[in-house]
Formats: sequence, structure tokens, C-alpha cells
Amino acid sequence: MHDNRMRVLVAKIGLDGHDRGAKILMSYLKDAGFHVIYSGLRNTPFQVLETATQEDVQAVGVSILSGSHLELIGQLCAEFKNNSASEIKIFVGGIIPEADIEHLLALGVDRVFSSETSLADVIDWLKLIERP
Amino acid sequence: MKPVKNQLTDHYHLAKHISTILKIADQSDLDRSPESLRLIGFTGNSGAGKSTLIGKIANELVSKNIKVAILLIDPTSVDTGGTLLGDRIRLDPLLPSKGVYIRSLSTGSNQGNLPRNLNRILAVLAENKFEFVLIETIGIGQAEAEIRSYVDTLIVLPAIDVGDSLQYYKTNVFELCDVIFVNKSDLRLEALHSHTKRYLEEFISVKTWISRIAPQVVFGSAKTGEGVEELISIITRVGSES
Repeated sequence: MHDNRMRVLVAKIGLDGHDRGAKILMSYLKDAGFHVIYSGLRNTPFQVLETATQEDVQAVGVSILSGSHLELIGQLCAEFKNNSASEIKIFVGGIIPEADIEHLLALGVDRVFSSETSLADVIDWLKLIERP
Repeated sequence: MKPVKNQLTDHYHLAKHISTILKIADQSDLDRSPESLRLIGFTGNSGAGKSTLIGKIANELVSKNIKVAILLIDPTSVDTGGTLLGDRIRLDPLLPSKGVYIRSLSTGSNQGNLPRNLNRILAVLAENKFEFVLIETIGIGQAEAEIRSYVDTLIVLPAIDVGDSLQYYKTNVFELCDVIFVNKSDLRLEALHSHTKRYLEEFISVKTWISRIAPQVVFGSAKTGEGVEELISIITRVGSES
């Protein structure tokens, strides 16, 4: 029944203390029937990998508003790639300039949601990648 | 301590194994928890400090070279089937690198307050040579009677802003637990704590008189670590099983 629903980690990395967006996303995912794990503020990219591994999640959503997304998401994608965790999908949301989206995708991000994205789009995408 | 990369691989396999167990539709659980594990349950109201205390205790145990796993249980919404598992944010983010395996578990469709097949999960942790498992319940309510049957030591973090001692007599958990940890001494709640102390002293003396056994009361702060040493000495005492 519900127990098989997808597990999703919502993470914040680097020096970024703004988690209102993450909380909105988590509430929405919970209401959509997902099991959502939150790892809290100011994790390192490697700590996010550790949490994603211990929790056996299918996707990690990183909310980032600090402007350092290219550097930190680059590190995050490298950690996942170097530790054979590429099966875990990475999606990014927050304040991401249009011009950086291609760059993030090239780094290994599976999907970028801009601040104008409707939360329903996030759900649709997660349902698309959900494995049984 | 193992190199971090090896630990990551171990935790990867363990995590996959637990996921498989959670998917077993068959509700038949093993009858008993594995003998080799020391199981400690934590219960108390939302915000009482369960996760913070678990994090402190885990760090203390790790410093004694004890292999620790943590299970954090949160309730699945009856309406939507979703769960928000938010207990990890209270824990030291360095614990995984120190070898502590941490898993958030939803109660799921199980008709209770514990995830299904909990004993099977504990058996896997025992196979992986974990020595202590710290289990956080969904909080106070009806959960404590269920967790009681699993754990060696049950620690409850009570509400301290209660009007009189009768609150402690009414609530079943105070009859079931081994330790009452009165938390948040760092918040300068002297007045509240002195009331709580008086109420609990009365409750414990009545309990002892009636049934000859009563929980131990420890005052302290999960945040500053006050009282944690006393808890460690209680939970590591050999043969403390009740």
C-alpha cells in the first residue's frame, strides 16, 4: 500500500539558512503521498550523499538560494558520481538564473525547477521517475 | 574506525536490505528481538527533546567504540499516505561518518505506531554487528506499550509544565518506562523543574510503595549534555533488562 511510496530527501547545502521553500516543498510532497526526509540546514555535499545512502532514497531535492549553486551542486554531483550513487536522481530548486540551468544539467543534475515552477510539476516529474 | 568510503558501502547494502524488508507484504514478524542487541526506546511529546537526546547518547556511545544504529519513527498521514521524516535535523551530521547508521522509518500502513517487520530490521542490524539500537517513537500516546515489548530500556521525556502530580499517575507510560528524563535544564526553568521534582518524587514514592519498582528519574539537558552520563551508565549496565 502506502509503504512502497517513493522516498525523497530534501537537502540544503552550504551557508544557506533560508528553508521556507524547502518546508513548502516537503509539505506538498507529504500531501502527495511521498515519504520525505529532511536533513536540515548547512550540510556538506558529502553529508547529503551519506544521508541519501543511509535512507535509500530514489531522489534528492536540493533547495538553494545562496547563489553558490554552480560550485556546491558541482561538488554534490561529483560525490554522487564518484561513489556510484548515480541511480539517485538529483533535482534542484531555488533562485537559479535561466542561464545556469544548462550548466547544472551538464554537471549531472536531472532536473532544475525555477522559482516560477508550480509544485504540481515537481510531483509529476517525481511520479515519472518513481521506481517500484 | 573504518574508512569512510567502506562505511558508505556497508550502509548502502544495509539500507537496501532494510528497504526490502519494509516491502515484504507479509505482516508476520519474528517473535523476538535479537539477543545480541541492546535496544533503547525513547518516547515523549513532540518537542520534548527525544532526537537531541538520542544524538547526544549516540556520540557518547561511539566515543566508547560501541557500534550504534538509530531508528527514527514518524507517523504516516492517514489521509494521504505521506510522511514527513524530520528527526535527522536534530542529530549531529557527523554521526554517519563515525559509523552510526541512521534510518528514518514511517509507520506506513501498519495498524500501529511502529513500522512493519521491526524485528526483522533489528535482526539485520544484529547481523551487521551493531551493539546498540536507539529507537525514537512517534511520541507519546499509545505508542509506548508497543515499544515496551521490544526494548531493554525505555526512556521517557515527560512534559514539565503540568499542573499537578496526578498527570504522572494517569499516563500509562510512567508505569512502563525505566527512566524518566526531565529535560531542558538549560532553559532556566528552575520553578517548573522544582514543581516537577516534587510531583515526581511523590509519584515515585507511591509507586515504590505499591509495586516495589519505579522508574529512575534523571534531570538534565539533552542540549548541554547534563545528565547524559547518568543515562549512559543506566543503559550500559549489564543485565539491566527488565
